[in-house]
Amino acid sequence: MSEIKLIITGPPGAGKTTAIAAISETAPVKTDTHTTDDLAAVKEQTTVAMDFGELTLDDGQKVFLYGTPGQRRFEFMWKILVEGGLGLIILVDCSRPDPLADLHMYLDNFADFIRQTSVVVGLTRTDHPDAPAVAEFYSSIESSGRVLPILEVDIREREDVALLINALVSTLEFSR
Amino acid sequence: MKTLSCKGFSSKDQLVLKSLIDLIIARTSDTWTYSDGDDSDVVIIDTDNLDDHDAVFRHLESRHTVAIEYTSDTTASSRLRLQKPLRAANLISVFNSVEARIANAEADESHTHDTLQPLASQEPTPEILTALDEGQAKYLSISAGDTTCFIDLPGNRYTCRGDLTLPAVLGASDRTVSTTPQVENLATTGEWRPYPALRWLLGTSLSNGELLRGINPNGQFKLHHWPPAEVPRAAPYTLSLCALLSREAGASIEEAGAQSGVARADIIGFINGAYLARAITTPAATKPTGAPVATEADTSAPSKPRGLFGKIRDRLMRKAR
Amino acid sequence: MSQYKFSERSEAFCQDLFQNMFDTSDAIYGILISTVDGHDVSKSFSRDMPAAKLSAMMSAILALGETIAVEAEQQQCRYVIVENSDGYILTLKIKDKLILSVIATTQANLGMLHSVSRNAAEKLAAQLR
Repeated sequence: MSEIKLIITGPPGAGKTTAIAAISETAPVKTDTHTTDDLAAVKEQTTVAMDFGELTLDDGQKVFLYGTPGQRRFEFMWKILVEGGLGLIILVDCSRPDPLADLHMYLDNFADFIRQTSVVVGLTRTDHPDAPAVAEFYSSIESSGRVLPILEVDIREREDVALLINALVSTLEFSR
Repeated sequence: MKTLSCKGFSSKDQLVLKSLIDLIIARTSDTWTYSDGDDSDVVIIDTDNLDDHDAVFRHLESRHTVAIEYTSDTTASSRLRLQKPLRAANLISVFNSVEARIANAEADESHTHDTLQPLASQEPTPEILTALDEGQAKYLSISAGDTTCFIDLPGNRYTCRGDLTLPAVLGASDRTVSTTPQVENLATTGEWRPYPALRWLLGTSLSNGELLRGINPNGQFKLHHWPPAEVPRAAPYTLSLCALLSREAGASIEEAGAQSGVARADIIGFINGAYLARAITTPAATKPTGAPVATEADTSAPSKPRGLFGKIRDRLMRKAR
Repeated sequence: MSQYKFSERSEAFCQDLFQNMFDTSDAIYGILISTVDGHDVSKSFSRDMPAAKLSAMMSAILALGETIAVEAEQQQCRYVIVENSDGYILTLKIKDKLILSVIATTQANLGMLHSVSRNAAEKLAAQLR
């Protein structure tokens, strides 16, 4: 039976580990270590290899969820983790200094994978006073000619993680 | 009055069906009641549970009974279909189609099959939405029970007077909708609340299966951006429509219906919402009326099998283990 | 970006220690200290290697090693060793926040490489309080 692999990426602190913990039916596998740089002001621990969670479908088939490390220095892990993946969820933390640039960095770096599969964007911490409006995200990707799903979510909520996966599944099924 | 029975249903689905009939009775043109007898006007058949369903269909059709298949299968079919799981909106849409079909059959015996008739409208809400959108009316007033909600469409905001929330009022079977030039005693209604999903929600809730005036039903609809998360949270089927209409070439109403299995009335509601939210390119208008549009049932085959994706969706809908 | 940095004294201590390790085994040609979250802190390479990239990779592989051990119901991963056709890469933790990686040719005796690396990690842990 084939296994289904979905990947969650995004900047450090966007909620990738939290998202997988929220939806995985087994205790998530984490590779968190102490944060030793500027990020320590935001979070004590950061993922350095991957997060892993799983869901079992009614017929026993597995859906595997892989979270990537966020920092660009772990780019090598991005390439390893997308291998054989079915689709990508990019989480964007709207409380960071430049969320639009963050989105584009991940769109660019995962461009080959996205071309072959599908992508959904989840915006987190959109209540931050400096958070760009959703419309600004759409405007910024307009030139690509592709309509990406961009959804505001509270990644701590299982239902919202399910919503992102559901949106990804819909794009895989109907948009391609 | 129309009578309805079912075959092959699990006891749980039968219970849900009976409950839904009670709930939606105010939103169908005719009065529907559940019957345990064999002589009902309409029979819904769970084709997933009944091995010999083709024979059942033939038998019912020979008796001129309307047969509706109830299935999780999403491949196209020329039969009237209710998609699993049972949803009130789908049931209303199918009932309205059946009523039109029966009325049409009575009027013209020779014209009975394969054409879904215009969906009956309970309220002239698409016209009201158009008037609001075009600035011909100021506020929308929606009442249900002891609650009235006022909607300021240009301002993307609303305020409610009463205990119910706006989604609850929009979903109420006894709601009434009208326009009003002003909101009286605004101070007592509380503050205006911004609501980015407002236009989408009005489209999906108040369309009654009719496209807004000026939207040409024939052609490709292309979505520019997806709705706020509140919309798919409330109506997960909208995700399939978003994906279909996000394709480079867009999709027609018929394609969207055939490939997603979403009821036509829901597709139209979604398009209206997207239109109000300025999120969709619609085909150029060919007629300036908002009259309900009848189209043939789509029988084109889906582009690819989707069992796996359906299973993932089913899993996501379940609570965490 | 502010990063974990050694004081001059600590850096000098590291370089002395690295030299001792090179002197102990001719097979060792790279020694790297990095943070557990993948930043390079101190190094001594006798061949050109990308310290920043290696640091990120070492932190990932050590974290994976620790996680794999826990999943297999084992405890306290001490080393992760990458043995390959050209040699060995041995990675181990120095206290909570630092990692020591030692890179050697196939001429290295693995037992000795273990011993040298563990001794160095203990000295570093004692010095870098």
